[in-house]
Amino acid sequence: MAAEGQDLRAGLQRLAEVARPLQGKQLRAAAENLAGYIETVAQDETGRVWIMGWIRGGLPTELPVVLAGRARHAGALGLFRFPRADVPEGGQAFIGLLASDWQPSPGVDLYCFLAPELTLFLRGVRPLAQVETKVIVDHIAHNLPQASAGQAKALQALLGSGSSWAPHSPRAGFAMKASVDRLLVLPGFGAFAEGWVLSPSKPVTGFSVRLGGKVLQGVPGSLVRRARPDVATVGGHTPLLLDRAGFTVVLEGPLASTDLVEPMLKAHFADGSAANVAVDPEAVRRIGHAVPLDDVLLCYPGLAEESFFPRFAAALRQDMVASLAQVALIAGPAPALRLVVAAVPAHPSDARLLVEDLALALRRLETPPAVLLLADGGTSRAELPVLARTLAEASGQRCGIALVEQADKPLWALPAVLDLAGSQHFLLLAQHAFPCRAGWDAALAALLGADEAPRALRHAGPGGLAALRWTRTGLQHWLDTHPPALGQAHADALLAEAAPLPGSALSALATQGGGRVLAAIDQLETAAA
Amino acid sequence: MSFAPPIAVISHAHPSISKGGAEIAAHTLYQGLRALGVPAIFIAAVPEAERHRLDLGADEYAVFHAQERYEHLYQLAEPAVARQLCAVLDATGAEQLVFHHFLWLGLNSLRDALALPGRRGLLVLHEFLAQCHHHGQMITATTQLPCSSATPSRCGNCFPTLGRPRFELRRRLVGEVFDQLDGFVSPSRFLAERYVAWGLPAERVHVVENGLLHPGQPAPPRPAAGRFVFGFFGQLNPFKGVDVLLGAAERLASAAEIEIRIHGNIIGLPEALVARLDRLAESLPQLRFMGAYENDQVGALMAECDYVLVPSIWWENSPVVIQEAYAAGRPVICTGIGGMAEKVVPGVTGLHFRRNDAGDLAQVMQSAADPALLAKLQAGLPRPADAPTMARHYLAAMGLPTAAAEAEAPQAARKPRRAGTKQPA
Repeated sequence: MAAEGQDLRAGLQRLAEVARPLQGKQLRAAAENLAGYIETVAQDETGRVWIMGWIRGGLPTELPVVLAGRARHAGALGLFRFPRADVPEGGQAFIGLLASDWQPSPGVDLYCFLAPELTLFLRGVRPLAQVETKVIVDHIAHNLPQASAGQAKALQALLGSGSSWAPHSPRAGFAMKASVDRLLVLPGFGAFAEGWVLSPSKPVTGFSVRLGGKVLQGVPGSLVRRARPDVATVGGHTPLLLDRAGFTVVLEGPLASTDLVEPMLKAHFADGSAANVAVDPEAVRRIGHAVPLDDVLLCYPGLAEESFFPRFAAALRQDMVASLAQVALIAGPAPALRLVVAAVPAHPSDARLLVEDLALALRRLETPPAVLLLADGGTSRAELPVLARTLAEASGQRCGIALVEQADKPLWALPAVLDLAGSQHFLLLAQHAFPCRAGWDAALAALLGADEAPRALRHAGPGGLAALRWTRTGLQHWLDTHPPALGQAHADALLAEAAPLPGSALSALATQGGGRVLAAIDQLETAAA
Repeated sequence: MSFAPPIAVISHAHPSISKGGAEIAAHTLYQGLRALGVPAIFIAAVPEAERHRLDLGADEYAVFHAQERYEHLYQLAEPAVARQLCAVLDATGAEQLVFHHFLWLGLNSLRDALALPGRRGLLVLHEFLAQCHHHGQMITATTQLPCSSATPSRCGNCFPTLGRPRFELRRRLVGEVFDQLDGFVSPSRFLAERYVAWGLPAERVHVVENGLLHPGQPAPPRPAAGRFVFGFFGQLNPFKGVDVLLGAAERLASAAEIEIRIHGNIIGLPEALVARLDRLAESLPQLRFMGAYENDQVGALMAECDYVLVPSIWWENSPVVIQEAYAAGRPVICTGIGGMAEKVVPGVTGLHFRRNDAGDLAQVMQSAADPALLAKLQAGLPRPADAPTMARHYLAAMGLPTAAAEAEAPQAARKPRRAGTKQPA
């Protein structure tokens, strides 16, 4: 992108910061303060929002704004004006970039209050026409010669910088070779790209990446360069380039899980031009799916200290919670008001031991409760009916089986599991927890007892929650106000809520860090609370 | 004293299916009890797949299991195995239970059986399975070195993919089941001491040597025929030191005065070792692979040897083959560790060599090829216990009167035997 486009983008970011503290102010859309209309909106592949319409003359062409629709968003508007015959007298048509996190939505009333006074406003017509980016591109090109105010060329450069994704060709007149070794992607946030670039004639200033229909922009200041002597055979005698050929860059953009195809890297040069290189699809790895979360730290060790970390954390939490809350009921348990929900350990030996222990504990009861096995992909699916049969024989009731994304983080799925089973009271046994006999007996007695207060069994030693007896209502209320941890301490906050049960449990797994990234996210959550 | 409720001798295998030392010892105890006139039943765990080979005698029962469904880390059988065992105990009324091994039966079967009203239990320790996940051998899984102490930490290091906490769970489970038992029998002092060091109360551990069903009379020394014959008898599995023996055979290639005979089944040997055995048996004139044998032939086959070799690389407990060698009048050359070292007194009943040291074994065999030494060792051999003697010691360990048993023997022996269901559903 041309330097003027970069300047405009930076300027809008600064203006958006000015608008941020104004979001809470009272807004009133008085008819006499109507300053124009937003008639058309477009969202380019980088996620940026472009608007067209008309506006009173004499107003600034870059200004902070507060958008009011379903919610309020602080932002900034940069536009250029040009004459148009149908615009009321004193007004001019405009094309502008709306820099905010507002997303176009056709059915919503949109008011764009102009800061800092927040009295004048632009109103979105209803329905607000949403067009393709190409329409905006054409309009800018058509009206640029008549531009009377505003940074028309800068806006054109900004819009154009993401529009060409044709692979770099030697016919372009300059050499550029690049490769992405790993592209770690996180829907809702963006990606971490690791690779190398050799551009002997044009210094590289930054990167962006296109995935599917979305463009991820390099986060300013996130570019890390390092030596890559291993690519010397590709670059010829370019020792200075090799010293900084390697790169890591953080890229942000509105990436959806459906976008993870046809990856392309765009290298931006100091002269404002850019060149594209296709990325091997095998380099694309979804964080938390193909690579462990902590692999991100190998790529970007200072992640948790960066200004973009809260956005990364929010995206990861949203991604994880959405999948962790999903439940697939394979076999329904016997209808029961009181239910044992046992998270099945991943190791088959542990699963056998759990069922053996639980069956023994159930046989000690005159009226054993129903049981549901909660398993995830780490458990042998084919083994589950065998385990369920053993428990059904011990309890005298049909044993249910439900599959979740991660049985070691069951709290998000638990309410749905209980609903499917029609149960109000539950005893949750944490995955890999093996209570002692006293612990089993106390936990089951608590489940069958009248007291509805939460009771918890602890792991021996420094371990956390091994079993929890509570009610569905109680749990849901707690979940509404206490987001469970993503990391190893997932359910441990419940220990503060629940009275201790006698006995303890051993764990089949050594105490491990639940992951540094998740720990950092949980810490962020705690600090925010 | 009445023995009306029979004693149940419960084994992990039946001798008609396999002939390991533990099931032979268990069946010998059963026969010994019956020889004393003590009502006894024999219950064996039998693989479903071997059902067609099963040959049950009077008052013998089988509980069937699927080997592939056995859980080896925590030693758990399928619940159906425990149910079958309890059904037999219910049907026969057996109250005193003598478990030989818990493999295939599972700790859960022992737990359930011992939880039946009025049951008392004794567990015969045949190896270290309660302590050691590596086939109960106390040999490290990766380096194959002898291990002297099983702790969750050490076991977790031995099996890093399992980790220490699982061995804590295993230890807890074993402890819970062992707490239900009245006592333990070890056929060697060595094993008993190891279990006491591991945590069993010394007062609950009894040392009772295995007996032989038909010890017979020792064979006379072989006539001097110019060659000394060294025989190996038993299962040719890796822990029995076949590799060591073959290494010694290679070193003795030019020793014309020595012949080595290997008797046994090839079980679980790596293909490379089987190939080596075949190749050496063909290329070394003094090495002969004799193949499998029936148990009742062992005395005659040993009588054709001068020495019996026991080159095991694990500790062993009280290998039946040593008792059989003594019964046949043949000294034993064994690895100088564990139960073998206890049973073979060097210079008196046999000779020792260094563990896993083929060169040392070859040297010891060469030194043993001496008529005077052979005669001296043959003169020092003890007489193994017979089945009734073994049974008497077990009765004592159970706190049952041995004298009364013998006094009542004629009467008990006249009691009609229960028909019983041989193969409970």
